[in-house]
Amino acid sequence: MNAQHLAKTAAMAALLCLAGMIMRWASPALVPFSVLPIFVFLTGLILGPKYGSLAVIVYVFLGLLGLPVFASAPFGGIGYVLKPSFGYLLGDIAAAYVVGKLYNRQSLLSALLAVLGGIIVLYLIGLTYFYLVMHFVLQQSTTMALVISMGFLPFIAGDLIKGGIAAWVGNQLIKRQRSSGL
Amino acid sequence: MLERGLYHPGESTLHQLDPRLKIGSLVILGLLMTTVNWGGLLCLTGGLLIMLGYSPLPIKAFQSVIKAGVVLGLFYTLIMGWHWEEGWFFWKGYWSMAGMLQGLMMSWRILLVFLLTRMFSAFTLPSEQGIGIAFFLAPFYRITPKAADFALLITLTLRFIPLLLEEAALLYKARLAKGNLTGQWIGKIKDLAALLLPLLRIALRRAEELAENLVARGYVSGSYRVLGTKEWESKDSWGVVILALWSIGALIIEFVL
Amino acid sequence: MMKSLEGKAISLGMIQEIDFSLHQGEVIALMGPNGAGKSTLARLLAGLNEPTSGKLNFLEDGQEIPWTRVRRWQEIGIIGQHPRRQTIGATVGEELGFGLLNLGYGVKKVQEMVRELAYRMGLEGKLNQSPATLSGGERQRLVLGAVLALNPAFLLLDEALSMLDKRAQEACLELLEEKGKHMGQLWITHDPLLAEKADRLWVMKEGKLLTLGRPHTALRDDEFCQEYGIRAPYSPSYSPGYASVREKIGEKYQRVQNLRYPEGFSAAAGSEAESFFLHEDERKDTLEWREAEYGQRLQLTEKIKEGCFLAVLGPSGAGKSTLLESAVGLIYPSQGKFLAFGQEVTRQATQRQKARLLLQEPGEYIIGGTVYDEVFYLQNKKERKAGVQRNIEYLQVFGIPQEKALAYPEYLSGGERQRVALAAALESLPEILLLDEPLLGLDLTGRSMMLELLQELKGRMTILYITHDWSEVRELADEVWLVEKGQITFKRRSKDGAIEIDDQQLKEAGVHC
Ligand SMILES: Nc1ncnc2c1ncn2[C@@H]1O[C@H](COP(=O)(O)OP(=O)(O)OP(=O)(O)O)[C@@H](O)[C@H]1O
Ligand SMILES: Nc1ncnc2c1ncn2[C@@H]1O[C@H](COP(=O)(O)OP(=O)(O)OP(=O)(O)O)[C@@H](O)[C@H]1O
Ligand SMILES: [Mg+2]
Ligand SMILES: [Mg+2]
Repeated sequence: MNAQHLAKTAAMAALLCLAGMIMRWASPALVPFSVLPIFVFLTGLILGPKYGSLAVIVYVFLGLLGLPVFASAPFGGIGYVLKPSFGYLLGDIAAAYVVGKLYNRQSLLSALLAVLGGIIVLYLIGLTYFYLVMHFVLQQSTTMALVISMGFLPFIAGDLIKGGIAAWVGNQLIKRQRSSGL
Repeated sequence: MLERGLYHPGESTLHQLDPRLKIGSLVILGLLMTTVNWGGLLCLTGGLLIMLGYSPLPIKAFQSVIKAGVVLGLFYTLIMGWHWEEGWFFWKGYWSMAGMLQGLMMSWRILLVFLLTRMFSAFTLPSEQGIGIAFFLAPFYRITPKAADFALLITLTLRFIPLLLEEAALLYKARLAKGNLTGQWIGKIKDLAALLLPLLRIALRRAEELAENLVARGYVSGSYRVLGTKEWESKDSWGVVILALWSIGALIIEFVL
Repeated sequence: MMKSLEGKAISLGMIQEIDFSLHQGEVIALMGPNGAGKSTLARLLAGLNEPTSGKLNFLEDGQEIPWTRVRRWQEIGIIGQHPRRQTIGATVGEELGFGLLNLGYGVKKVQEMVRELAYRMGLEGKLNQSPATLSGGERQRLVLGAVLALNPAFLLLDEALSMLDKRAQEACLELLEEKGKHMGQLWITHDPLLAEKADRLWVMKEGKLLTLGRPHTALRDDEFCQEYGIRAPYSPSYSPGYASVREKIGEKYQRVQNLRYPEGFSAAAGSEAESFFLHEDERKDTLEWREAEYGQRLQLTEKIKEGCFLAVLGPSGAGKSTLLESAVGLIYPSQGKFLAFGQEVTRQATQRQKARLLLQEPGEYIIGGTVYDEVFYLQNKKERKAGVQRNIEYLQVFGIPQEKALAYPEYLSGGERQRVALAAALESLPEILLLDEPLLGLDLTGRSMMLELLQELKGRMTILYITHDWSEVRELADEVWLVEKGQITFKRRSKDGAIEIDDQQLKEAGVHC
């Protein structure tokens, strides 16, 4: 792995960690929602499928080890896999991959479509995991309706907006890197 | 705001322990805290309180952690205490004692994990955290050289976190130096969003520069080795013993008694 | 065994087909105007960029050694123009030890060496501090120490001694000389006094390299210096002839002045030149510190009068930048009060709008996407469209050519970025201007532009000017403060336009005179 890729992947992974932590260390009034999805999509857009998903893997790995980098309680530790919402973190990995794969590094439209693809994958994996955990781990009776009302409807609008922001910012950045010839 | 450091500079025993031991304890204790039930939690809490008593960290450092823990705890207790039947009609339900207790336990866990991680980051520099983690990845190097790269990636990531925090703080300063932030809530968010692009740009550029600097100071990709900055001392061995006794104790209380 | 670096017909970006050779044991000074390609050359030598054409060779006793057999990082050390960008460690100690560990020394040995190094670089007691919280000069010394520790065969210093006071600079030079016998050094600098200490002089202009002999002869030649835009050591500190700045900016501020004081004291004063200068007793206090304490970094009780030109001198790490940060309201006193325009400054206060700060290493803080965006940040779309011509002219006043207006700031040279930051600060028409070592990294024309500008602005706004070099502001200052270890140890007001200062006292504090 060359030093440039390595350092860039690390930088994005660090940004993901910060995005996860910002809710806690900055006051919630400053950023009233999780900004993590923005950074996940951005990671995919900027680094491409391979290194993008690797950056998210690093983030999840650090969180599972116990470093307090996740956005919601208990913020880290292996126990996190038992939380219904862990699926979204797995989904993030896949999303970064899909976003990087679909984006052609040219147009805003392609960035938007790529992010949309990422969101679909994110929810597919997230909701499946949600259902499985609710059903088999917490042993609560679950229906699809419940899963969707708890894991999809409250978040989708926000995620679409965040996706839009990410697509715009990411595209700007790539455009600029292209024109400076680096 | 962003400059508020997690690290608490000092020379206490907790600072001086080997990072490998610290990472190990973090993983093991974190695992226990998220899996055991009442008895085990009690034991873990006791141990943690003793450790807190010995740590030189002022109570003030825990303020925000405890606040967040209590708020989340309340939230969980309420959510898990409210039981409703299948379907969309979550307002048709009742309060269940069992659920409340579960919620309470969840909150307790959260608070414990909070305290543990807070202490961990107060006494362990990010670079040390990286060293600790990289050490545990070392056995995998033999299986694939990718593991070495992954270990390096982890240490770099941890190195970047404070670095980027500084950059963010600087950007914020530069932004302030150019004019006031608008007072309104919406305006504030807009202003922060406008900083996102420069932040990313700077992060990527810092990454490029970091790569250059790493190469310039002798890093070679693929053949990464862990640079322990501390030597294993007797107090580290004692630490291992205490950790082992403590976690076995918690498990015994949980499953045997 | 003697090692050399040899370049043959090298081109890269700005640089065109240059030839040179650099040997172990000699010191070369490289001078030239802003944007000439000096930093590009340094990066090329260090292997951070590859030449687009031509070849760079590494020789041992005249024998060419392929790069694959050279541990480049160990042979060539580089200290960049912006030390902030060169730190990798989380603490000063880690930073100093990082390369040593990679060299394969044991931990105990490294710790010992780090302590020794910190002492030599004047950083003792700061081993556990984060490099980000160091002062500009301290950071420069830190990077120098970290690279010197590796004992490279070649050392490239890109304006690496520029933020140091006299004493720290001498200490560093001593260290460099000590190591110098086995080291080829390239000093990129705008300071002729430093360049004079070198064995050979190189001059660069617009990508062309001129290799000369001993610096003395060339630097004595005033005409040559003028032509190549480098400063001569003994001619006056700035050459007049940058009058366009005075005109342009003067005009602009005249308009502002008329708006701010519509009734105008110009009528009373009579002559136009007198019009901006308020009488001593008419002036109000703009800034005031009342027993304000900023931790250990700074404690002071002072007032600054409206329209005053205040020079702040002092050794590196004394708390000068802290003073400016407090004046602009980026940090708040832990004890005591700080007032601006008679009102206490709190987190909510709006006095910031009236003050502009030119930070140390300002180039590193540019937020705008392009130079144009950065400078005309406060204009809305319509204003920008209408005023393109005027804006371009405004940029030209600061020596930023039209083709650079749409450039990305991060790819500009150090001096160019300094100009951009200055233009941006003045565009917003501040009432208080805070300048942190503003001449840093500027070439001859940049300096004279800056000093002309200050002549013009003097009296129209309150100016705080931080520097290590008293001669820069000798003619300008109304008041001087000397800051040492977070305290103001000495201050002097001008009487009848002149300041009487015992140079000896400043020299003792490490100020260049
Ligand atoms: N990565 C880049 N892409 C495009 N242009 C660049 C890049 N880096 C530098 N330049 C341009 O090359 C020119 C030379 O820059 P360089 O930094 O070498 O100047 P310098 O001689 O060091 O000047 P200074 O004294 O101001 O530091 C500048 O005009 C700059 O705009
Ligand atoms: N955030 C901080 N925490 C702790 N110490 C700090 C912090 N920021 C600065 N310092 C220390 O305060 C001292 C004064 O720093 P300052 O930047 O004001 O120096 P300076 O006079 O501007 O020096 P220079 O001429 O080198 O720029 C330095 O010793 C520095 O290490
Ligand atoms: Mg330069
Ligand atoms: Mg300073």
